[in-house]
Amino acid sequence: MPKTLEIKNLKKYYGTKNNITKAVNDLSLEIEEGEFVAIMGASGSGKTTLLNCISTIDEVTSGHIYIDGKDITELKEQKLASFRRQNLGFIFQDFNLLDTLTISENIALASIINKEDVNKVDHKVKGIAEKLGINEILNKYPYAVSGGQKQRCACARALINKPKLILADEPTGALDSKSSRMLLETMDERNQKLTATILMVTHDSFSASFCKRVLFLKDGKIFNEIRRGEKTRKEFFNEILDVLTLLGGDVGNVK
Amino acid sequence: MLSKLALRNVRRSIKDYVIYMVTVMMAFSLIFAFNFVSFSKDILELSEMMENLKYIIIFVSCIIVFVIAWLINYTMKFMFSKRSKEFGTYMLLGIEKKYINRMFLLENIIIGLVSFIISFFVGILLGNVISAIVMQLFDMPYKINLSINLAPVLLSTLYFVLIYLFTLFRSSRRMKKMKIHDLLYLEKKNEEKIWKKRKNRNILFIFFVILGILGLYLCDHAFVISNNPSMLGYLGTSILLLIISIYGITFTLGDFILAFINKRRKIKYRKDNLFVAKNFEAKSRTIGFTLGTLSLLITLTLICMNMSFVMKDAFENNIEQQAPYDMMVEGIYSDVEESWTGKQDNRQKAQEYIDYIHQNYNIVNELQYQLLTTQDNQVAKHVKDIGNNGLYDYDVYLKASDYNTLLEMLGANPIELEEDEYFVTGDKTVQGYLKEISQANDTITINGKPLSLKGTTIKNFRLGWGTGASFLIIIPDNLAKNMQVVTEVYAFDTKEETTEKDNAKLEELGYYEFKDGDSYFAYFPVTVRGYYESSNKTAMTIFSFSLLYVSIIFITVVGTILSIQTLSDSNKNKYQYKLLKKLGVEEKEINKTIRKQITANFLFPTIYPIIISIVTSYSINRLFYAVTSASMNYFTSIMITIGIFTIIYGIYYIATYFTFKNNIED
Repeated sequence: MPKTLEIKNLKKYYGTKNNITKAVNDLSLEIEEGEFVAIMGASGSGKTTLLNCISTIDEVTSGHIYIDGKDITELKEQKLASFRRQNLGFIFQDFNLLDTLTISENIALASIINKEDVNKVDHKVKGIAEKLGINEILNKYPYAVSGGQKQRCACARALINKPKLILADEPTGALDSKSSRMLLETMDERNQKLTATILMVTHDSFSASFCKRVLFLKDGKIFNEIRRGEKTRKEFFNEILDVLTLLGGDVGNVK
Repeated sequence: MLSKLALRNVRRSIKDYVIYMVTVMMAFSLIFAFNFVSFSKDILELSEMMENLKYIIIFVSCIIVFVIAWLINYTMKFMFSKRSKEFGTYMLLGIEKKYINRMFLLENIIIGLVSFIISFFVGILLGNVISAIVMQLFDMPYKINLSINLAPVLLSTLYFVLIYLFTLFRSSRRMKKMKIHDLLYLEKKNEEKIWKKRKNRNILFIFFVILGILGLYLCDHAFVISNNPSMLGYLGTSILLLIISIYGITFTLGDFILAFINKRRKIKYRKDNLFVAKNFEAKSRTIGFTLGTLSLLITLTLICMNMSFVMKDAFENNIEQQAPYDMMVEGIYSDVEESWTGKQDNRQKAQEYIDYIHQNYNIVNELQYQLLTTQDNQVAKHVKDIGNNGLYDYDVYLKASDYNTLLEMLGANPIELEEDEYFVTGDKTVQGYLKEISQANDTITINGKPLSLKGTTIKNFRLGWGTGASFLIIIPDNLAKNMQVVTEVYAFDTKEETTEKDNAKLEELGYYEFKDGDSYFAYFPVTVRGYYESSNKTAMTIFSFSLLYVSIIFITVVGTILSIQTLSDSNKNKYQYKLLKKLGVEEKEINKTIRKQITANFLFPTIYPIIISIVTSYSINRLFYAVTSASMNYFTSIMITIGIFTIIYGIYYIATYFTFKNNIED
């Protein structure tokens, strides 16, 4: 299988000379095409920083990140924009939808700015909206729909251009359990049917149990890694809980 | 798509832009209005000097352009930080910075243009109002004039373009420098702290207070020695010291007050003091520079406005002092070498003027009188520094009947003087000496006859009577014999109002000549009230109006920035106020806390400026003391200034309060 994401000796340090925080400390990992991977860890373990580095929001201190074989740490800022547009999709905890645009415009925004053919974009939006069950609300504004619908809209926005890698930062963080489940099932389905590669940061074991592989982060390093293999979701869920207990972190947060 | 998005954003964020738009509109309405007025034909025709108004307004506008550019830049920065997360999202979606930047600029241009166009129309109306006021000053009828002069429109447009070029350029640069990470997390950033150590700050505070006191002292001193060339040096140093002290004190005062409150548990824990104080603490530390600039602007506003009132009074008073009657022919005759004309006899030439005036005007009242002297200093000995206070260092007499006629011509009540009495009248500058004279209560001897003092007054005295004498001694008519003539004057009250043109016509009749040492000077010793009126009123219009122009624009700028500052807090404070509600604080109490918080924000930058302006207005008043009217008093002028300032400022305060409340209830 080709590697969608490859991280080599990634370091990300914050702070001044005398007070360095090693948010990500010499971390390496590989994600193959079509994988659905979760990164778990206590707060402060470096999850979000890692994701920010991969998503080019943050600059790395040292090390390399290859997405689809391309080293993004070497790219200039101008190229990064188009790189993100073509290769990455984002889903955030707080959705980051634009209040001034309708749901359909939110989904289509990147494509329209990309100067794609309007009819084609319309078609694409309808297609993806149908699959995610939000075609009824396409003409509404974000403030008029529910949290779950917003997140599915964000999901549609992330998926529309068939990115090589989808990055999700606590996507279920602001959702109730029913909406969470619906979203995760959708993501799982997208992953299997479209072979979309998904990297998700979460501290919620329930969300993580939908993935094929879970990486545990501690102090900026990979502490453990488990694979779902042929296990049921329930079994996998229990296994995650075991590792979390071992990790001694946020066990209080598990469901 | 880009323009559609920009338009929509404008519509959606109109609530945030409203204060900004109103201020741009107010500022540009004023710029338009004053430019229209300064180019208006009606106004320019009022007097020859009016031409200068144009240049002064252009000069003042240049300063204003800077301040408004700062304001708009500030507002754009605020909007930018408010929407940084949105911009970050755009970038994440892979939209290039170029596009985002273009969109933001487009939004600002739309808002700017809309405000500009509205202010054009408001400016025409406002310009008419100002013109009407000016015309009223000159007692001229005013017709509403909606015709538009091209020059002021072009000038205002130029200012607009300059301001927007500058701010858009700054905004572009800001955007270019931003990393996507900064954008997503900008909300949490503030201005950099300047001083980190608390201890030093208290020492610094005291240091800046001392600098301020020094600055104010130098300012006062500069005005006292106003004739000395080193005055400018003093004034410059004083201004520099005051500016440093304003910034320094704003940086440190907050901590000084808070340290005081923190040490006193009783005050600290009373009611909501803790909440307000801590909120304020966070603020004063992080936006010190902005607050300093606001303080500076408030200081300038108060000083300018105060100056505007003092100037208005000074020029009005100057007309009364210099030209009390419609026409005066002066310097007709003098026996005294030390008089302002020197020894001379111009009766022949003066008669030409007098005849001309008789022929061409309807005379209501007229009086030919002489100022007399024996070169004694029986009264003048009480008046020290007489060289500064008047032209003559000997007693100058005026006959009681002449004095009474002069008073009657002014519409004032005459005095009754017994045969053995004398009376002293003078202007404001010798007020102190007049007191000494009445205390000394000397008996003086004139032509062998002893006279006792009837009294003294500064009421109804006119400098124009004695062409420069700052006090006169009124004596009974029959004693005015065997005296030298200091100067002879002919005063007329005409039925028609005199104008600048009358002055020009008289000028054509030719000049007197008088001797100063060995050289002869040509002089034109006719005072035409209309000429003085128009030149003084012109100067008044120019100075008062430009100063008022500056101060009103400054208030609106300060109001807007404080309002924006406070409202941007309201978004951050939302959570805190919700928490207070949950803790069981009643709605009424919360509103009170909000008011306290806004009051702290609005009041803080005004404290020091008010102190400075009170002190400097005292100094300024001293400088203008001699030329302002007796009724002008520095306390009233500064109170009126602070009053007007408070009204405009209050409007911003109230608008901010209600918007703040709305934001929190949302």
